[in-house]
Amino acid sequence: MADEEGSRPLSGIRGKPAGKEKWLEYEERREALYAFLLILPALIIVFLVIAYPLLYSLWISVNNVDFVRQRWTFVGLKNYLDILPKPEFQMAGVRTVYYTVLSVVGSVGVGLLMALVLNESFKGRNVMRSLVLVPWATSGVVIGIIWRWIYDGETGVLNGVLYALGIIPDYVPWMSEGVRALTLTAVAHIWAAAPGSSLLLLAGLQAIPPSLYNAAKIDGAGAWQRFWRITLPWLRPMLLLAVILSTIGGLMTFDLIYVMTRGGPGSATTVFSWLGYTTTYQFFRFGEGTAILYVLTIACLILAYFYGKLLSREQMY
Amino acid sequence: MAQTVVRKTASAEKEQARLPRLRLEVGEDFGKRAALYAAVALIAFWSLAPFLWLVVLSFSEIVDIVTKPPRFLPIPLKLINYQTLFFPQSGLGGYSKIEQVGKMPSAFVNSAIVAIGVSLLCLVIGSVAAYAYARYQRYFFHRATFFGLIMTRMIPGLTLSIPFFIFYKALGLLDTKLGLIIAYSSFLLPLTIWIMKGYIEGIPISLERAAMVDGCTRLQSLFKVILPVCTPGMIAAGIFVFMAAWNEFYFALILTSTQNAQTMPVVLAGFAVHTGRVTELPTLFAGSVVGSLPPLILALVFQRFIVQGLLVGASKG
Repeated sequence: MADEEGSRPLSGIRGKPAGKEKWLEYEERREALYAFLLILPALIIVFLVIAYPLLYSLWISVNNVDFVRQRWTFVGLKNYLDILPKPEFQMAGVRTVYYTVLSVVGSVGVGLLMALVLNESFKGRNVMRSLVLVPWATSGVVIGIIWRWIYDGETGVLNGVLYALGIIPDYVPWMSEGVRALTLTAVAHIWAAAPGSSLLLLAGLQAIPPSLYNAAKIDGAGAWQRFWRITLPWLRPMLLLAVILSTIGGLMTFDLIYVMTRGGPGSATTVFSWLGYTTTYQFFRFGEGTAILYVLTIACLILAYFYGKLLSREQMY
Repeated sequence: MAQTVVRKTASAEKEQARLPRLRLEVGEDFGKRAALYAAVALIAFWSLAPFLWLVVLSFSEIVDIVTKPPRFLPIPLKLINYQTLFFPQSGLGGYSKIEQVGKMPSAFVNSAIVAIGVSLLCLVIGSVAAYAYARYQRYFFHRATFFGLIMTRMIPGLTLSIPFFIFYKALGLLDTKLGLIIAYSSFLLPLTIWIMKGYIEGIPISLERAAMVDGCTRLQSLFKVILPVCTPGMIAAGIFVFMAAWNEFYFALILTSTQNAQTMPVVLAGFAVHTGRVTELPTLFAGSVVGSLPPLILALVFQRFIVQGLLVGASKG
């Protein structure tokens, strides 16, 4: 069949034999136009609605914006220079890093464990593969609601269980202490993010040829050795991908903070995203708020660079 | 190492050496199975328990919740919270003072309209674009813009929200479902295109050629031949998009303000944040369960299709 002609333009088949060369040139141009028109609607929506706002918010961040009086004053990097030395900004940075590291290690770790288990054969594996998707299919807001009332000091089930088992003498207000509140919020985040990582890693595990394991077994390699020498090296690109994506997830965390802590107690869980949100929408300091969020954006764009490099190296798209 | 040892031994010795080792392996195997099932149980508990507790809470009365420790199984199940949810004005359910309860039905409808609208829009525009990206990779423009599309996934929505707010205010799109549909489509289209492109690449080009030899135009061969074959890919992409649109919180929070367009996450979050009295809590839990059902059911029923699209969409974001 026509299959062997590989890269030849599709339309060639309908081409007229007479004046072939000129016709092909014309056809090729029509073909390019057609190919361009097909992607045009998508390009318009995506780049108009994403690229333009991205540049626009960069513009806001170098202006002093007064929306009430509709006054814009160009101030250069002043917004950035203003926020950088502020202790609230620096503390938010420390908290963001702490929260992100915790959630990346946790969600990739738990995700890896899940993927390793789900890759084994056991009864009810398909059911399990569905069940681990439950946190993944639940909205961030509902996850926040679930965990807020797990940790609750008066009605929380964590208190209930520990109290019923006699582990704690009385209910503990878990979320009233700063670092503990941030850590426990990160645990909720890990619960939400682990299935995503586990799906990626499971796909990675399934791409490892089983013959490698058989060969290693014949050579007498133990389970531990097989894991370090075969599984991990083969999983490396997927692990990197999971780390990059979960880092962005951790940096961008908002839903959980909004529902569970609202930045509190005090400002103990005020991470960058929350600081940017409150500065912008509660205090209406748009320039500063956007500058804070743009610091996050730059971090994400750096990660995006590695993401893109990884994807093109591994030919994953 | 072990292999060389085995090779050097005489065959009789080998037989002798193998027997005890075999027995050891059986013992090991039993231990391994036990460990595996323990891990499975642990993962099932970790993934399900928090959500199941929300379900238990939604069937509890406030007395069951504030008891110390709470009643872990409130039997008989109390349906009163769901009654309050669906018939807020009914005397039976007890009139709720929180305005969020009254907003719940309209929020559910809004979420459905927005999620379905975004899914349809993304599938139509995205499939056509994905087809062009799959078949015309020889054009540099296509390769470049496709890479650009993938990279937009890494741009944090937080930063985009401020320009969105400003534009929408100017265009009169604030607090409209159409506004949400446009915003969501812009960052879910790349995901759709990515999933669909992978799927279309797996379809032999000879199929289109045959259609065109039979007299189809290019568009006809796309819509009548290619896309019908792509149904599984479209289901996968459609589910990803539906779930992401249903669960999205940040844009909905900023771009909507009334029942006209507020979606489930916004109303639930508003409820969770503004609830002052514990007595309102069970209604919130019932609302959270109802609001989680559509994406949850889709994810569980179509698990198989999700795994197909998993390489691309494993992380929601």
